[in-house]
Amino acid sequence: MDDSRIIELLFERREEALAEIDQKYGEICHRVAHNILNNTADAEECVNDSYLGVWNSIPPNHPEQLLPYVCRIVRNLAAKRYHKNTAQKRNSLYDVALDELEECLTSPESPADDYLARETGEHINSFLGTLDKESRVIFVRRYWFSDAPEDIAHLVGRSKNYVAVKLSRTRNKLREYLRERGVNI
Amino acid sequence: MTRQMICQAVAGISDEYVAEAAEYKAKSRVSRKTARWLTAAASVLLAFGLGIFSVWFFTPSDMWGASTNALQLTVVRVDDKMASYAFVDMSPYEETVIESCRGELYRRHGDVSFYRIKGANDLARLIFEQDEDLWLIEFDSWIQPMSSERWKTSYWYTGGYFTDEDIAALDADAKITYADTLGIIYGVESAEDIISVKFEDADIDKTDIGDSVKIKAVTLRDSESAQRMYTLLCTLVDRDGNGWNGWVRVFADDEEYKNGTMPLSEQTEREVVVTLASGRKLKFNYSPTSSIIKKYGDGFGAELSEEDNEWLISVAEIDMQYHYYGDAKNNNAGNTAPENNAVTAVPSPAK
Repeated sequence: MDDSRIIELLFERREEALAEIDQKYGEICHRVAHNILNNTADAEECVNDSYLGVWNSIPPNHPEQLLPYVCRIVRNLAAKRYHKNTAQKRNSLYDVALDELEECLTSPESPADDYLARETGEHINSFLGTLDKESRVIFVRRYWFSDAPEDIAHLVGRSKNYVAVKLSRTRNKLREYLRERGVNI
Repeated sequence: MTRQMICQAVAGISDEYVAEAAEYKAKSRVSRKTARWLTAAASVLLAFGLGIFSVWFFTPSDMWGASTNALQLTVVRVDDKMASYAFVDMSPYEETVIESCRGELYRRHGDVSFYRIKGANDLARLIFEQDEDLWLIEFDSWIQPMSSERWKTSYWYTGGYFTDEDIAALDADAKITYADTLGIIYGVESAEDIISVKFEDADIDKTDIGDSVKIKAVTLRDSESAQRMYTLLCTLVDRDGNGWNGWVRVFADDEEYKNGTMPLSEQTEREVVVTLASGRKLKFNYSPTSSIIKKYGDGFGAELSEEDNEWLISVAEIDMQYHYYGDAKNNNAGNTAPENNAVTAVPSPAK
């Protein structure tokens, strides 16, 4: 079933829309949640909560693309649960991915405000537009989906080493990109 | 910026890019397995259509101690032939120095470029550039020659990798022998480029009986041996696309060993390492009882003439006599005394 039909079902308040979403995007939703939470039961619960979030938000929302919309809800809920649960235990793929980015986004002088985060987010978006598709996919799979490098290697049909090197170079480029634009990190 | 803020910044990645990453499917890359399948298919076609077939797959030197990635291959036009190169898993040091190792441009295909290694006179390794990224690649094998029409249906051509000029430059009727590999890829122009030929333990122990077989390593450094080895290598033609076909191995639990008619393969097989003046080492497996020499690892091999086989047995000082080293079932390895059993002559090498 295509996304527009699923959205129509949601507008008609028909619950089979959620079954369709689960069938179509359940796997990647579970992956996103599990990568962040590193716990199958928590991930399962998070995905179910996300479906409820989709049900409650469509309507009124009418997303142009259903997949990123659903994934984003999953990611937000998983991140919220992660920050609530943890902080002490840093053992998920999400932690490792954040550690890597911390190296290029953190400085002792960073002003701690949401504005900076939003501004940096916008710059990251425009930076991604400068990359070739494969580099961009590798970056997003690593830092948005928190996928492990070996899984990304499998996805893009390259070696783990290739992915690791690509990520390292992309992070360096990002650091330069932000510096050139005067982003105070 | 705190971790939570980093998380927030990354969360702002647009739907477009998230969807792109979620739905991404890799371009089909030609794996070694696929390349072999293609080679085999092309070979069958040629064998039936033209009656011509020869190909060499070859594992290049391990000089830098790195390993190649069998799943990532790229193709490069080398003169009038097409060669397959494997990506090398680079060490952090190699990644650091690769830029400074980039020599002159060798070939450009579409948006990728191939550079020689600075100071190297051969094509064993090249530097591959795409999107300003540099990678080290290593010669893997020759692609079976085929017609322009067939090339135009290939993954590389349809993917915009080659121009019509590249395809037109290929010789569809080329007969590839190991002389091409030696000369074109490794820059070996004569026997003078061969420094030494070493015969050592093939390390094929299947049982601990093999541990008790002592192998004497022999290294040839004289010019006469180098000339003979060079001539031998240049005449090699892949026998059937599978170096193991016809390869006879006798282990301690085989009847031929038990009844004293054939010696253990641990005793007779050798690894042959040819060291070139460039420092590269070419490795082969050699079975005197099978009369076959093949590339190191799995792959392709060539049948030796009776004369060449006898020469190799002689210079490598291979003991072709039957010796009893113990019974695998009784696990009494270590009993190496030949007098425990009658010494019998070994049958002539299998043909």
